[in-house]
Amino acid sequence: MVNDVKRPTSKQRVSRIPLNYHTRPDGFRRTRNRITVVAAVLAIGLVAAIAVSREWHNAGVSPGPVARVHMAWAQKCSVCHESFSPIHEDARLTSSKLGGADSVASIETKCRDCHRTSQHHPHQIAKMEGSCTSCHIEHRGEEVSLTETGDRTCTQCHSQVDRFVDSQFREDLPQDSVSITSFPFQHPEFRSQASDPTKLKFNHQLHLSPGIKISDERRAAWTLADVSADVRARYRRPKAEGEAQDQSDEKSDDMTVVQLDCRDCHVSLADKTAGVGAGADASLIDFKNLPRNQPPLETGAYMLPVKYADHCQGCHPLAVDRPAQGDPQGKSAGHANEIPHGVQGVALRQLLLGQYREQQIDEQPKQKTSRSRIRPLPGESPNRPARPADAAAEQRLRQIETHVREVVCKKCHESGALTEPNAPITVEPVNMPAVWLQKSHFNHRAHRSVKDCQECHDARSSTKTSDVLIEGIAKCRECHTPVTSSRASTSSTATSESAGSVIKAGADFRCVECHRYHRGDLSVFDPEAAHVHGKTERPAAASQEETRASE
Amino acid sequence: MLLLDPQQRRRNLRWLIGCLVITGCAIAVYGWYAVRTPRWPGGSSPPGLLFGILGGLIILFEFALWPRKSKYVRAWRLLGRTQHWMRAHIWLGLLSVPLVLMHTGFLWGGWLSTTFAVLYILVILSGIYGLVMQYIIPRMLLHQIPAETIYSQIPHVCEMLLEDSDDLIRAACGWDAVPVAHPAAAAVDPTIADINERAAAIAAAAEAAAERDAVAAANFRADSSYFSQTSMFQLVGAVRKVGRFQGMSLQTQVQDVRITGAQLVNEIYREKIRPFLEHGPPANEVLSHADRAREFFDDLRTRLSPDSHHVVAALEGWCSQRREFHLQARLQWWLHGWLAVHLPLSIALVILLFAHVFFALKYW
Repeated sequence: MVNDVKRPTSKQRVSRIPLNYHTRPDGFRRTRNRITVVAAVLAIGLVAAIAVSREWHNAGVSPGPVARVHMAWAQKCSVCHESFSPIHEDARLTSSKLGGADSVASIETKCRDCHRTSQHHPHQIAKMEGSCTSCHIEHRGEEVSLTETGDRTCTQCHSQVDRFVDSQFREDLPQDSVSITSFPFQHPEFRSQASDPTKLKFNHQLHLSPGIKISDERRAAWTLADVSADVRARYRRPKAEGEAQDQSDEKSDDMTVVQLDCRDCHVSLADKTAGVGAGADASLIDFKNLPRNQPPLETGAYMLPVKYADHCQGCHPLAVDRPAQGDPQGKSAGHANEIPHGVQGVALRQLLLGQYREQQIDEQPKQKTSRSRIRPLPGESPNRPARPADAAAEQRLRQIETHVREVVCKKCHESGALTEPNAPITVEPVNMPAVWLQKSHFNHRAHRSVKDCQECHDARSSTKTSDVLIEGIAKCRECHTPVTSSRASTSSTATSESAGSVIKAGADFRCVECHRYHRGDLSVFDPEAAHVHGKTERPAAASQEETRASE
Repeated sequence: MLLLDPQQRRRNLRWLIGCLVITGCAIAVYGWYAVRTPRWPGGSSPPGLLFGILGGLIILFEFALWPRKSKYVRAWRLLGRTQHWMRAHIWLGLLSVPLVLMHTGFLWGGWLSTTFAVLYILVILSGIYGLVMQYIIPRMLLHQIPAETIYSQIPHVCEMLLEDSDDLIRAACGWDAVPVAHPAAAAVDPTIADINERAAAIAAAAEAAAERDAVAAANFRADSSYFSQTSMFQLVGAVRKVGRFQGMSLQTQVQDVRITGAQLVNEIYREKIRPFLEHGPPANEVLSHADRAREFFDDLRTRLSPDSHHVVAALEGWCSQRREFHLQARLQWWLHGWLAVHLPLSIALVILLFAHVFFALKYW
């Protein structure tokens, strides 16, 4: 029976699985195909939404929100962009090869519709200057400042600046300025510090010594009694804690030696509004008519100018102790007159002559009528040839002038060169810089955590006017440098050891922290440069309010 | 990984060197340009634009593998071998990463370009994952699943497995041991809402099936030809080895007499083995593990006379196959599951690529 049975053939075995199985998708493949369709539909829908909806278009295509200053045009791409025309600076090379060389220039034109711009430096090769978009990168967010550019925007040229300077100026380049890569590591010394142009005699060390007296000096120490009574209170120091102060003490205090500190002469507007230091009423400063290259005082970033009336007169009144005849040095005390500060030349001569006449009249009342003789007749020059009756007065006036020049003015000033024997007194302009670092910004308020001015201004050891009392770039680099592990550990140690110590390193050291780009040849405070940077107006009142509020 | 396979190493090494050289040149050009500019050159810069064009072309080529493997195109010999396409697909895809990265200027851009970049990253990652899986899983399948079959045919093969085992038990333990499947009962329309109608239909189908079983049993006893076709020769899978390869092959086994201990075999088959063969490992935990299943069948053999052992061996073999099919199905998911991500995202990527090109050129 078994022999009759047929075994299954190979064909029957193979047919257990249909040969066309691959033509029929299994469940996995069907699921995959469904997901694929869904993904394709979603992608097409997304693109369609961007193409149709303005909101989706702006949100989808824009690489980020525009800066707050351009927010009004956030939804109007065409204000800046031209379709299929490159806007980026780095597309210039590509676009020029594609025949669109002017496309980048078009955005420049659009920028200049609103912004006044100027070249960076007159000595640079003009065609190598970048476009607006090479530095000012948009679409980085509302809060991002367009002027806060990275160091590489500057160092791409300044690391090899000789390539970008016109050949005729190339030889004038200072060697230390040819390659600047970063402030902490490769930056020349501040050029503004090379010399002090000030024509004034001032000894910081002396003025900061107790009693305005150097220890080996013989004269008596300067006490509060020597200071003009009007401003004496300003130099009276608060007593130590626990010591009561009453009216009776004030008289005994007058014998206290004067001890000046930096803030007696150097205060910012912020200090002044906070009641620190001495000086004129800040509200009287005409912020809108400050001289050229004057830093913006209203922010409190810079110190108010030192003024004779505010800071010197209390101890140095311009009293003319008229010397007796034959004593031009004024060693013998005579009657004292005061002359106003700032008067010189013929005006000073007239003033001294007037004072001399008045003195004569006071001393010889009978000769009152003779005053009319010295008055010039109408049409006559005051410098008319001396009449015999005026000869004595003329000689006396010369004596007084000599005294004023040699004793009063030259106490602080360098007089101008006398071209004629009897030329009137002239004083050379003081020429004190309103700000030392002309090519960069500095903010004293930002550095207020440095409590001791001496840290950066070594005034206590300065005896000459020509001393430049700014420590230089090395001092700045103590803080304005990257934090390294060693520095970080040092600073943390210092901080932990002494509370309130200043943490070194880690302060910002980008180029734009101090410098500005447009009109880099000018002082940053020059109105021309300030205008380009949008600082043409000085909102004095508002800024003062802000300063006070911030205090 | 591509270099681990000794047979493919030389060809892949060429691609690797080529990609490294191109990447090195691209980085050099980009770096040279970057040091002259204040920030990382983006897509509008000359090198950025060049890399963008190259990256876009590579993405389009990568995508072309999909139509290349479709049934309409895959037979075109002019297009070259699929193996070469796959190798180029892998290496050019990897090469595109540094090119696209430099094209972006290391910025995400708007959310269109961000979405595009995220899709690109996902496609690349899923591709790399797939590459790893394609290297690991086939080796696992080769060594751990000798009974591997076509994934899509696993349910069908399992059904046949069940039929074969039923036939064997019928032949070895008697016709009544396993009831014939009732296609009529299965054919009851499941959409009939009325439960009474369904119950009546099922009862009718069961009655018809019982009648058919009775007729079949009578025929079984009377007609030896039916016996010969369904029970005498059993198709049993057996593992065969040829060289380093092994696989399951079908072999015919003759079963013409009832075994002793048929009652025990019949009970165990109905209670434990058949549910396992029908539903897989979830139906029986003991048979789900190879070691425990071996103990189970060894124990069964000790309770049966030697003339029954070949039936036990056949059942053990089917259980092993069923277990392997289950494992294969799971591995198959790991082997091809990434394609359910890779392919849809690739299509979305290509669509967004065109949109990106359009808008980038419009506002570049």
